[in-house]
Amino acid sequence: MPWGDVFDNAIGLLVYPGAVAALLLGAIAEIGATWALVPERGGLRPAARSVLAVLPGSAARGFPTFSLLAALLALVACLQMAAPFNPVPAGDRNLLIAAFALIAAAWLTWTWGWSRGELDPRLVLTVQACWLVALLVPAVVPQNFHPQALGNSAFPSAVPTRAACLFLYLMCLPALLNLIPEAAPQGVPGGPGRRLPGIEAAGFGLLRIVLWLPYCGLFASLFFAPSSDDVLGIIRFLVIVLGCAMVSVAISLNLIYRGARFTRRFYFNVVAPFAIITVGLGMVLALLGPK
Amino acid sequence: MAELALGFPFAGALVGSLLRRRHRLALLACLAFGLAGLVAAVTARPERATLAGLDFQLAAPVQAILVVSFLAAGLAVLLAPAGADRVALAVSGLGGLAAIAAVAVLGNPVLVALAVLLTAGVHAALPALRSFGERVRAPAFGALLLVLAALLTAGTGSLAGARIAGLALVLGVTAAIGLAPYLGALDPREPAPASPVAWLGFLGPTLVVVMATRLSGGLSAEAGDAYAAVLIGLGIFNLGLGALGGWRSKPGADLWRYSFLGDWGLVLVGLGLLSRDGFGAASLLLVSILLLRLPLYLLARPALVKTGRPELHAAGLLVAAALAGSAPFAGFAARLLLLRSASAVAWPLALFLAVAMLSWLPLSIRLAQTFGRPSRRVTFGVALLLVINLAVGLYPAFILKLVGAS
Repeated sequence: MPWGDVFDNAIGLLVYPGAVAALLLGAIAEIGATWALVPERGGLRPAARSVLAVLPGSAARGFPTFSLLAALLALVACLQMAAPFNPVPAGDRNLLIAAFALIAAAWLTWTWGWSRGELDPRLVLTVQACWLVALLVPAVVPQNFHPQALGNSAFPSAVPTRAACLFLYLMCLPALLNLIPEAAPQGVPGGPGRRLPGIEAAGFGLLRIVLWLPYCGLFASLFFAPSSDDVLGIIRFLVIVLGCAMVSVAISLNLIYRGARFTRRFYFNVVAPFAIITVGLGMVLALLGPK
Repeated sequence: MAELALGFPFAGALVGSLLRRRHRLALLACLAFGLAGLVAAVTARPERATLAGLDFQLAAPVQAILVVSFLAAGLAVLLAPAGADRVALAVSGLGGLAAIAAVAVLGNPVLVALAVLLTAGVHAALPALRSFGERVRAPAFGALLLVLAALLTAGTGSLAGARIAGLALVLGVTAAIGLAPYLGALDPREPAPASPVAWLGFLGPTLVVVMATRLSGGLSAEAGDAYAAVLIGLGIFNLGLGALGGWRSKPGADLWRYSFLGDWGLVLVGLGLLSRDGFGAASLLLVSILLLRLPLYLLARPALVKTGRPELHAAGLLVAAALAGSAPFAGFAARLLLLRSASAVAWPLALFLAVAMLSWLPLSIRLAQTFGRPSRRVTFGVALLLVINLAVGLYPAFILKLVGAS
């Protein structure tokens, strides 16, 4: 690999669309989620304070290794997005890398928090499977794993599948972003923390902040035409990403409001069968051929 | 603009959810997005438009029923009983409107079926008294039949395939709405957004008009005959079952369920006649379901839960007259048009329809008794609904013109 490419990838990983961008955008999304999920805290300022409170104090040193590894994988997924000004060449971005990185990040978190009684591993595994369907089925008809190509794909026969995958993706986000109690080792944003303040809670908190951009950015890359490399393009991309985050918070709020029974019913009886039907539909439409 | 009729209620449901605990702000947001959606639905052009690869189209009859659905949702929130969580009702209403608008404006039949499927799943997952399986069976089966119909219409050129598509289309829509033979139990203790009334009185009207105007458009003339025959057959079945079930029911939720069924039987027959008068009659009946029968059921629900002694007041006679489709209310013009259209096809059919219509006169008086001793809020609501229905009944040409049946 030429040194130029290495430099581009490093910039991408550390600055944009990697660490700095993910932390900034994730913090905004996390503050918004805290404000929406726990309005009793007051306005945006108390929400921001509660988000920053998860960061370790001066007495604590470092973050848990698993958390850092998972965050690094999430940043690798960020590089695969079709974001404007992404320094990684379009031909080098791959949906499969993003999928494996994010799944591995989630699994790292789970090996770390596997034995926590308040969590529901079955639900999270089901949601991950459904998310993979939403991520990979749109690639069946175009036979292409480049996110920007999928966002641009214009096969009329694939439109129903893409629409189904779009909804499936959105429905999976609350569990993948740790926004519901069944999938949040650290508790929902703004809620009473499940971990004692310290390194562990900080690790979980940081990881969720970093996860917003790759999940919502991949959504923007997969289901919308790529944004141009200019200011308007950046604004458009941010609007889609923040819109996606808003939708996932709204779904989470409805799930939390209606209770654990509804959440389980929603994921096992609605989202999982819908994913199976989406796969079936994708296969039938692929057999009918791209028109 | 058609896509905005879908986008605004969807955004309203999301924003309403986000602001759920800030009641006044949430209600204001829901109202603003609901009104914006209504304006978008009213001003939408019928031409096909493409956005982000999706085709959007809002034909005139569908547009009229969509606008009436917006009004019905507004009435449901406005007339909610005292102490009810209006924000939850508004969010559910906007969510339902988003689903209705998706069915109404999406041009691709497979997408329409997927929208129905998703709506069926989410609706069945809402907390209610009946089990998830019991509630999801019929609408999910209906949605899958709609997917089959869409794929068969697009993928086969044979007559047999087209006939099966027509059959799947009618059975799919009736199953999704929850008409006989897929009729579900109605328990007044269940919140309205989670009960079968959501399909029978709110989501169903737009779905059936989309079926009649757009989804059936891909069927050939030969397959169209079979489609019409199934519609009329199911219509007669629902009409007969509604009348019979109504006679056997005590004044309560069951009677309301059969009254919905009776109206839906007339709608199916009207659509199956494949005539302008038949379609006009069906459209007027759907307007009457949305702006009279559904809100009246919602107003009567608290009294149904209490299961007090049935009482009939003077205003109850007017309610009974409106529900039975007497002059000068909207149902009268619909029934007249339907009889005229049916008698042009086969007089025995018209005779059966007339007998079934007359059988609902005494049953409607029993329905009016279910309000018990109405509160001032209920009396105001009933008066408002009767005035709206009277206006439609005195000038049905307005609705008929909107749906293209004048």
